[in-house]
Amino acid sequence: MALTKCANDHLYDSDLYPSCPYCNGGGNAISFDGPGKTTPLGNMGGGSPDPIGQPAPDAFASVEPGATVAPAGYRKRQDDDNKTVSVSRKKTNLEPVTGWLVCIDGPDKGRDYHLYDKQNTVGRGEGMDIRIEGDKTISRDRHARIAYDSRHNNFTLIPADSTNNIYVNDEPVYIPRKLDAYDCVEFGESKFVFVPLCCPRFTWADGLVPAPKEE
Amino acid sequence: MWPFSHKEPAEDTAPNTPTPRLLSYQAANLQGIGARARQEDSFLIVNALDVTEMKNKGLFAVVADGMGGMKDGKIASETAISCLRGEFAEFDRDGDIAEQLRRAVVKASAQVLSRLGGDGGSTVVACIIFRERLYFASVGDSFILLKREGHLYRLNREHTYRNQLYLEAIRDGSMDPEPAESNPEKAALTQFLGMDGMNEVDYLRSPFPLRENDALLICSDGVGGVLTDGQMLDYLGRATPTEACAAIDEEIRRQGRKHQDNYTALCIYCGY
Repeated sequence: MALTKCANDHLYDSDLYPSCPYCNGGGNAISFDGPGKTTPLGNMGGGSPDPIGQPAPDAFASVEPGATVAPAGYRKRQDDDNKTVSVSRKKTNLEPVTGWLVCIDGPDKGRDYHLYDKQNTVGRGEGMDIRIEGDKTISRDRHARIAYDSRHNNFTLIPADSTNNIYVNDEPVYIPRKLDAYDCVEFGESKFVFVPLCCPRFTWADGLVPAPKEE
Repeated sequence: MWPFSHKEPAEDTAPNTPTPRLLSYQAANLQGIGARARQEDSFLIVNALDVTEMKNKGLFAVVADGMGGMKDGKIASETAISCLRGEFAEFDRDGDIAEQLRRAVVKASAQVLSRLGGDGGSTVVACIIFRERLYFASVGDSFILLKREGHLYRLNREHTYRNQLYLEAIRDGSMDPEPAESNPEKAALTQFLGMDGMNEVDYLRSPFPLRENDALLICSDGVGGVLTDGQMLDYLGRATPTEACAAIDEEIRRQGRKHQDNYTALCIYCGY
């Protein structure tokens, strides 16, 4: 037994194998330069690591023209062969968006968050529907909820387990409160503008309603 | 106070004071194609055979399981491995290793996304053993398992739709596992390298101290999802990591599942 390391950092017994049995197996593997050498792949830019949840700004720009780019709602089913496959729930079930929160002040300034039908949980932790990661003053779980009610076609902000006060248009909110377009909602140290899609002009059930004629 | 200080003069040391010992590590790897046409798992073990580099820079072990349901699993897993190898070489050893590892994984995801445009991906478990401590970062459904004192512990959390449904059942108070168990997409990944909008990395913020006789198994779901916990515990008890890998290989071949996935396992033993 003579344990040996190949250029791709695999270990193998060189008494048994003349070369690494794990490299280029099946003729389908791609070989890369050996260890210690950082080689950019394809036409990818270098750059510093990006914060989670924010793909490199050039990540898509560098995709070659004509390359297959997944649609926004791509969905991969588990095939009967148990291959490793993916799903991204909200996007993939094509659950229709009902409105947005847009961060206008705070660590996540510039980001938007989708609102969907029924209850949308707001928090900093994993599993929140609206996950505001940058602001440490926002509770991990259930800082608040924003509910869309399709029957009455309106949105309600419901304070939940936050220890910090929530404000709408600078007024503290302790009980559920209806949200109107362009209300300014404050969670922790961040400010958000509420932008509805579903409103008197549009619902998913009835579609777009023509603008009322001005007299 | 650290009792084994190097700075104390020799004459002050009591005759029965133990000399400082550092853990050393033995590693072995295993990979098989299973019932698949192609091998889409990739792995590496850096500094496994170089004691000096292992001590100065750490042991680095990574398994990446390319997603066969997608465009090109091998490109995804190799891209991730290649990126992580480069990042590990550049780590600041006196800095925050855990954070550097997390960032390296995020960068690897961006590179896979850049290369495959979101239509391909890979899982990853990347682990570093440095100064007798374990760091890891994981995305997807690969495994990092620890055998300690006769028990097997899974250290990472799977990013699967099943787990997401479990969490929802806990959050909404129903506590009913049935919707998760019966969902046809329960095994699908909710996070993977190369996903547009990947936003969860399971990682240790502070490192985990290793002990003598600890054994680690880092593997793809072709191993972790096929062998029972009892079997893995048994195999990690073999005398050497090479024998553990051989036992894993033998059992997977013996079962000879019709849809056996690609399988990759890295075993690391800690000892003196």
